Amino acid sequence: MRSGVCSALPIVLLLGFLGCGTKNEARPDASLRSAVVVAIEGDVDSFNPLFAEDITAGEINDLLLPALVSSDFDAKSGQLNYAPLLARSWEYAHQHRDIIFHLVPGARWTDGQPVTARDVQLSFELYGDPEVASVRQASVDNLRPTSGNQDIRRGIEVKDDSTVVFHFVKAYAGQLFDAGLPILPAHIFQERSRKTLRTDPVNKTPVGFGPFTLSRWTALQEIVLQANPESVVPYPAKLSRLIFRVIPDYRTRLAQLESGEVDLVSGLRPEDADRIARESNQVEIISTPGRDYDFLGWNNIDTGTPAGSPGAKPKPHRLFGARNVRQALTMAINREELVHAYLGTHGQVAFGGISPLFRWAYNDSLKPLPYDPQRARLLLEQEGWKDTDGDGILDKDTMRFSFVLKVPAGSQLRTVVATAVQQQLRQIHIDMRIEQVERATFWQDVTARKYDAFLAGFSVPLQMQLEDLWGSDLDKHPFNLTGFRDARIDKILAAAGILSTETDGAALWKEFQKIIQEEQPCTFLYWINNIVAVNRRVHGTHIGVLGTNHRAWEWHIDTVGQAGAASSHKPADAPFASE
Amino acid sequence: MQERALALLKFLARRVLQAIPMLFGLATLVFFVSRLLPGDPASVYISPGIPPGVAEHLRSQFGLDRPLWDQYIAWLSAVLRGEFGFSFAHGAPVATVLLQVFPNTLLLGATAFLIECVLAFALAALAVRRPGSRFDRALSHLTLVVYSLPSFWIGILLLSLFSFTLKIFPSSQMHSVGVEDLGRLAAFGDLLKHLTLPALTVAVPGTAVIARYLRTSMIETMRQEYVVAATGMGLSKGRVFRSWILPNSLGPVISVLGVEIGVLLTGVLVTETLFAWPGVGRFAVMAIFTRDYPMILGCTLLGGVLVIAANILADFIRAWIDPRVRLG
Amino acid sequence: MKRSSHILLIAIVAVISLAQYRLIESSLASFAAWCVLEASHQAPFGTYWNPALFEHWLAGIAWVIGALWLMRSSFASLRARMGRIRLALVIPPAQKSIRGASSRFICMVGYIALVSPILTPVNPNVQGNLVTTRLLPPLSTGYVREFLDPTPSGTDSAGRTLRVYTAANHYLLHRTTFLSANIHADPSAASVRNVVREFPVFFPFGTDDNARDVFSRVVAGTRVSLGIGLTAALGALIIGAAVGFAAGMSRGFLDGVLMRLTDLFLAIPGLFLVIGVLAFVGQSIAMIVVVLSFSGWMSIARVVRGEVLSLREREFILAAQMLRVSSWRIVTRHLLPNLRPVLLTATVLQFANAVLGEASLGFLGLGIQPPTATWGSMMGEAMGYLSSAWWVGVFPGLLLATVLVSAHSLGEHLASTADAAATDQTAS
Repeated sequence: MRSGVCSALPIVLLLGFLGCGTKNEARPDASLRSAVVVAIEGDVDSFNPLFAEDITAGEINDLLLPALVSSDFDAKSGQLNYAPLLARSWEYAHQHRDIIFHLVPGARWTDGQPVTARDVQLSFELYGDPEVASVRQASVDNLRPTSGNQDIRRGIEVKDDSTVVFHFVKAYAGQLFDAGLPILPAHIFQERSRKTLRTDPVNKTPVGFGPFTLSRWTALQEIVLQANPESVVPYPAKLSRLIFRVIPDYRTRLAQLESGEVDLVSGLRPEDADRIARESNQVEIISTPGRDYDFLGWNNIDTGTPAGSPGAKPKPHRLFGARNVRQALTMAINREELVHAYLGTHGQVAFGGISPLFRWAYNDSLKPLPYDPQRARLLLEQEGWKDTDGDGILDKDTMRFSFVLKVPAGSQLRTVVATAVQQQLRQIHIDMRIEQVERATFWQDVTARKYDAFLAGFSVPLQMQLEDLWGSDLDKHPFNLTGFRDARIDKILAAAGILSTETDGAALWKEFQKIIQEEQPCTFLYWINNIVAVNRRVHGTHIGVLGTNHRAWEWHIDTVGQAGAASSHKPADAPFASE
Repeated sequence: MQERALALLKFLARRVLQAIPMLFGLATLVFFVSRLLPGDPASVYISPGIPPGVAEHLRSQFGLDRPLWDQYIAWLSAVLRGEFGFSFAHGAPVATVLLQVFPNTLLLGATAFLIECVLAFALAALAVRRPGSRFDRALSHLTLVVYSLPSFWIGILLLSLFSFTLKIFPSSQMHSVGVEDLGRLAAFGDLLKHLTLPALTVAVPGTAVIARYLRTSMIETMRQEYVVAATGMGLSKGRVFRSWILPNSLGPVISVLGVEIGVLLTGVLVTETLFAWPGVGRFAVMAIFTRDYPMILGCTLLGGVLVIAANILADFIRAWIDPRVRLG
Repeated sequence: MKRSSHILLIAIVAVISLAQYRLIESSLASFAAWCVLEASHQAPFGTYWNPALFEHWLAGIAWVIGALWLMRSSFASLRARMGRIRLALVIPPAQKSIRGASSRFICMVGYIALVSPILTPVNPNVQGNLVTTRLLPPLSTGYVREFLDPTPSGTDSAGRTLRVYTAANHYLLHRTTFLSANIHADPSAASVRNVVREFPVFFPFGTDDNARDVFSRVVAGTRVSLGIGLTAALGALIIGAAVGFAAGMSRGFLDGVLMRLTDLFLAIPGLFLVIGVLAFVGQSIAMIVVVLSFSGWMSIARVVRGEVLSLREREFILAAQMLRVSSWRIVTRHLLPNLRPVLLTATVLQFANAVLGEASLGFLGLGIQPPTATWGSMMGEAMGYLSSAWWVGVFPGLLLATVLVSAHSLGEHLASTADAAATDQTAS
């Protein structure tokens, strides 16, 4: 007994000490009030925009290394607008194929070197160099007159220190978008070996010229950005510090948001967003639609048996090869109910494959296929699918309507939705088995077309880029995951690719959606909003389609003097903000 | 007695020598099994918008296009140089990356282990005072209940109670924002506060196991003739407990402790994510999911060294305190 | 057992029997018809076998046996009250000890696992209207509409037995339910045809994120979880005990090799092992059991070896050796009985480990796949809304804890009985 008490005592004391010790230090001191703390789920992967894949990393790099132009999404027209950033102005030449950028004078890297046109040239050279293997390599494709590697140097011509000319191979809608990559310091990167650049320690200590500089990066813990007082691109950040705290657990991010320890959390679940919007007057909820969707991919082609010669037309899939079957599947799934139950007001039923963000291209006259299990049964019967042996599952020529749906593991929403879909298909006598697959394995299987059906999600790029997803040449477009091939679609994609103004393609894209709607190569489930919660003391945010930390140099904190001015800084690109 | 000490030392030396081929075997096994997993590090870069050539190029950059034996030998020679290869995801040598965060994991694990031992010992000692008493039964059931809770539940319960509701302890990471502005003592206090909940989360299931084994073992010992005799000779309960029951019942439990280190490391994995504790566990999980082969190997070897060392130590201590254990 | 609780039990069984009358009848009819069909040798044996029916047959038979037993024992207790003999075998003598209660509880859980198709008020995998019936708190009420497409035609020409068989199976396998908190205001309920029956339903444990009845899922999960937990625990026990025993008995080189092997397995990260094995071999219940057994045997091996090493130095073993008792006899009569307490503790813990291990596999998405209900997967699913909808995970958690505590008390009871027996034998 005595020994027991003796050993328990120190623990009680320890706990007591810790318990008492906490009370005197309520919240970090006053200097931190001028800092904004953003909670992020995982650490960033790289401070070099050549290699950063992570979304937050990309956003932070934009703050450290601004691009020539800054963009804003105009929700009314559904298009990107461009504004000067490192380029003070630009003009077109040579039938819109060349753009001449005039750089802002006086910009300096944090190590004192001036920012010149040479930096711009080298940056794009690096983006385009296959040796570097940048993830943004595709953006530079239209600056290469031929397929040679060294051509980018000719594609981007340095006129003088503050003038640089981009020679595009053609005039097209996304020229400024492609020219909007972060600029890297040439004086640091020109001597580095390009082959080993990815692992170069220089990536950990970025030299920038933007409104913020990196003050500290503690792996797995936090990233601290500091205002760069010297910056002229566009000006030193209004916040003295911007801190990104890595908090992997969702509940904790939410709790810290509500207690005021962090100011900004993105990726809220709809029910939490609604609860916070109801309960908290400190936190504002901004729900941005249109970037992410989930869909059920049906394998349109038979990938089980070899196709014979490489150019041969693949055979249709035993189950999903027929259009009627795919339509029936969509009609058997109650998407309205799924959206209503799991997303509430933070989502909408998806169809047609084009984001409602692109107002000019979105086909309003189409309606999603209705939930109609009776009609679905009829359609299946027309295709010869009947339950002849009375086992409760449809069959046709000794083939049962039974398949496996692959779902990437780890997403609660997708698992729940897959289970709901399974039950709904059961009602029309289709046997779907769910197989959750670890993420890396999932993408390996799906891109190798080793599947019958899958449930996955995609994010929409801000430029209309649909060729990768729908082009008929499956070898060239491995991300045409369903293997859907249609000559009409190919024609539309080809025609849209050479337009110089994006909106000219409106009619083409509306036709595109009609075809996809008819053919149902996959069942689009829903668009999911990105829900961001931000403390009301932070003003001047531009949370929306372009991300959470977009133009964070304009953020400022509510102090007495600024309170009035702050209200005018409404998020320009977030008209969907739910108050 | 001297002979025994010599034998003990020989035992220790032999086990340490045996550990080397074991680690080699572990590394080889993990090396080849990890290559059997579907996908590879470059598959992170397979996405629409990234040209397929990028992934191909990365494979050759990482040397993944070379024959497997070649890669294996290259990796072994890197280990001998003390580098453990180059992490694909972190762009840095594995040893550098791991050393950066290993102290944090060690701190969490060691604290949890300490709590486990002390708490389990106290509980078991209280329980065997009167075996079958109400306290004993309640404790026996309580440990089972605790044991049947998933460890993430324990973490979440502690979090919601102490952090979200009572707001006594912070919910994540090792330091508060702006800890650099605090004094050294205050910073230490800050660290302790951040350490409490994760350490408890790791310690609770282990405490239940150790307390159970300790109790069983103590009761077994109490049935032995020498204990009965000692009690019969009229020695005080405390004396009997300290001099006979305790030393004789520790043996099997020490073996369990060695095993528990492995379980503890697994617990650390879950806990580090839940409490945003910057440790090796989070790197290990990430490495497995992104197929960062050198990192997987590095983490496995580190874990292997810890587990094997703990077991050697446990066997050594057991042999040391219990002369009945043969060193054959 | 008290008379009042006895009456309550009979009442419950009667109510369920009435409510599930058609299910029980179909199960028994299906089984009887199958027996007749197979016995008549009209077709090769196994023609009519359908594995999906087995659980229904088992449940139907177990239910009838249970009901008969209950009736008989209540007559017995009536007679006992009249001063007659008590059927001690059928009802254990009223012990107010935890042991009696726990053994009864374990038996009950086992029985529940057998008859779970009858006990579940609604099919555990059927989801209700997602909007109105999702995440309802415990003690909510709802409405069930059960419907069934007409029996497929073409069986008229068949014999009478075959018709009975087909009709019974059709009901057992193809009836579907529509579930809603408010069925009269539910537009999709109107589309449901061929309604067999309608009844209000009570969600004692609430509903989950897929609008399924948590109570039914807990009951249905009993079988899978107990099955997986027991098999994996036994697997781990067999491997662990064999390795530990061999190591402890042999000493020397084999001991070293076996123990280093154990250490090696301990050092392999579990997550890695699981992903590797399941990605490579594919997911199935058998593979999951194998993975769980293989990740749990190491601690048992070490404990057993330690115990064997220390036991064989004990006086009674040494004495037996001196007396030239055969080593087989030493092992079976003296070593194994003394290992029993340690093994029992280890097995109970390993059982918990396996059930929880299945939960964490589910957490990675690599466990038993949806929609199958297991306690582990339910606890894993609940993780996302532990604070907003606690009932989804708490009930399976409570049941698991109770089973473990009971199993352990029972184990201790058995161990102490065994111990006493072993001591007797040693003495004799």
